[in-house]
Amino acid sequence: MTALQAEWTKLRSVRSTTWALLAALASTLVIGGVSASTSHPDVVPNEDVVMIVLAGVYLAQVAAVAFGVIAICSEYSSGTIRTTFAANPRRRQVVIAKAAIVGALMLAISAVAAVAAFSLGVAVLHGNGFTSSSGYHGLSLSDSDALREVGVAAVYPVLIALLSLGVATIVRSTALAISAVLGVLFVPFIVAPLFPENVANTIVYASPMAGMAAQEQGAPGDPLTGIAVTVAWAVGAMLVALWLIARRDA
Amino acid sequence: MEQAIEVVGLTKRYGATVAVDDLSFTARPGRVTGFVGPNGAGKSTTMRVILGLDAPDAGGTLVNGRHYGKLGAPLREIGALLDAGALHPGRRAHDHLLWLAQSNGLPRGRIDEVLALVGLSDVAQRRTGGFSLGMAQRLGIAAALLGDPPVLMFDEPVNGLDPEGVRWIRGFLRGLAAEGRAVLVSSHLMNELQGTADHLVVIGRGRLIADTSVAELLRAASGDGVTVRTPDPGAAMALLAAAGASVTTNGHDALEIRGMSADRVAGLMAGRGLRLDELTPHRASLEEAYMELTRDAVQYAARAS
Repeated sequence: MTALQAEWTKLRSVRSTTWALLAALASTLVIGGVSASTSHPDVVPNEDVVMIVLAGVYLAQVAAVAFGVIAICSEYSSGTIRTTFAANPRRRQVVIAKAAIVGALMLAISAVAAVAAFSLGVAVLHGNGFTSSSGYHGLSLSDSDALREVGVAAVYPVLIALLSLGVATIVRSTALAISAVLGVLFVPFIVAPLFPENVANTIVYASPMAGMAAQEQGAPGDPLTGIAVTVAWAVGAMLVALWLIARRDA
Repeated sequence: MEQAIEVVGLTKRYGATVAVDDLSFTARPGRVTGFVGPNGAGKSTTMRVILGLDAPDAGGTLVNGRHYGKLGAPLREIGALLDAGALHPGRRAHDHLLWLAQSNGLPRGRIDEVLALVGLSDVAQRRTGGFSLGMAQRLGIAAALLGDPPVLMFDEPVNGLDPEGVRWIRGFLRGLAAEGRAVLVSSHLMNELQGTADHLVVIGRGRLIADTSVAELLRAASGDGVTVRTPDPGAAMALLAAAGASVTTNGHDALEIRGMSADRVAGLMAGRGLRLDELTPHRASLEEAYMELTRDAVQYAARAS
């Protein structure tokens, strides 16, 4: 409990974490709004309309990476990590508390962002002629696909922030951690099209972005498997981080 | 009696480099223990091991008789300042102390108390990025005092401070020891500890060179001597050397005489009709005693490398 309080104070008392969270919120809303307003039924027929309004999550995850990395690397770059571990020698407890606070804050922001982007986007789409009477479904949260996609848009940035926190704890450098996570997120999407379709799908659905990519209706991946892959990446990074943190000199 | 800080047979390597080599010493309540050695002697490494930050390769350390990792609320047992610059520049001084207090379940009211104690109450809401080194140093000391611990440890606390800051810290350390706390303070300059430390632990190249009281160290030093200035140093040198003193010249007209009292020097020179422009007896300084003590370690180091 004391560790949670301390980590909460640390995160809320610096501006960089606030900016990262605001960036995540803004990207989800702005990209979602722009994406909805530029979509018309004759241009994108029979598309998954929910993904049109949640398109901003792909950019928001970059802010989630920054948030997860800053949460611990600001301690390594300033040297306060030694103060932290001297004040609480149970290092795993410290990192778990950090993960809990990072996860809770990210969830609060991305849940608000996802629901707001959906409501805003759907209103815009309605005006552009995407209506249930013209054959489009998923324009309400009572639709099970829409609910799943909005739910994942809230949870996915949390997993990416935890993946980033884990990688950052392992490499202990802001620049290295951000490049590593962005690399593992985006490189598969860039190289996949160079391969035959079945190989390309394997590459994409094994990457941490699988959780988001598999949600799109009509996508080749299974939504549940997709999100499980992202969970595996986040949990894997955190486990390695927890294993290392107790063994290394601070 | 239980020791506040106990270092027993501590060895710490970084790759092929031996930073600390079978080091043992203790820091006791009620006194300031100076931890002295040249830069790179292993002082900071030893302090990091004491705080459980670096793991020893052999031996170990105890704080109030317990392993650091077993302390429930470490800030109530030992307060430490290793690196005054270790602050997030965007965080306010008060918030820095707040998270520390929360991590050990310390009362919030203590934050304003320690800020007042080090004279930082007015800048509590300022971000530490704008702090001078002296202010950062004071904030670090406030953090160390947060848990009102019986043991305090400071790594080079006067490094880079202005004379006013140096004087303040010295008085502060004496005050903490007078309250019955154990204070371990490191420095690479012995004269920084003159008048502050009661006891000295001297290390070089990771090894213990001396573990002694300041008074004993000064007594053991053969440094008492006399400085003489005369228009004819050559004649004076021959005269005093023939009478059994050890005489060296500093290159100008001054001679350093050891092993002979000032009045005997004056008597001999008057008997020969040599004019004295200056006759200054002086006691060995702590720094000289330290240089004498570490000379062997330095020679050993030169041979080894």
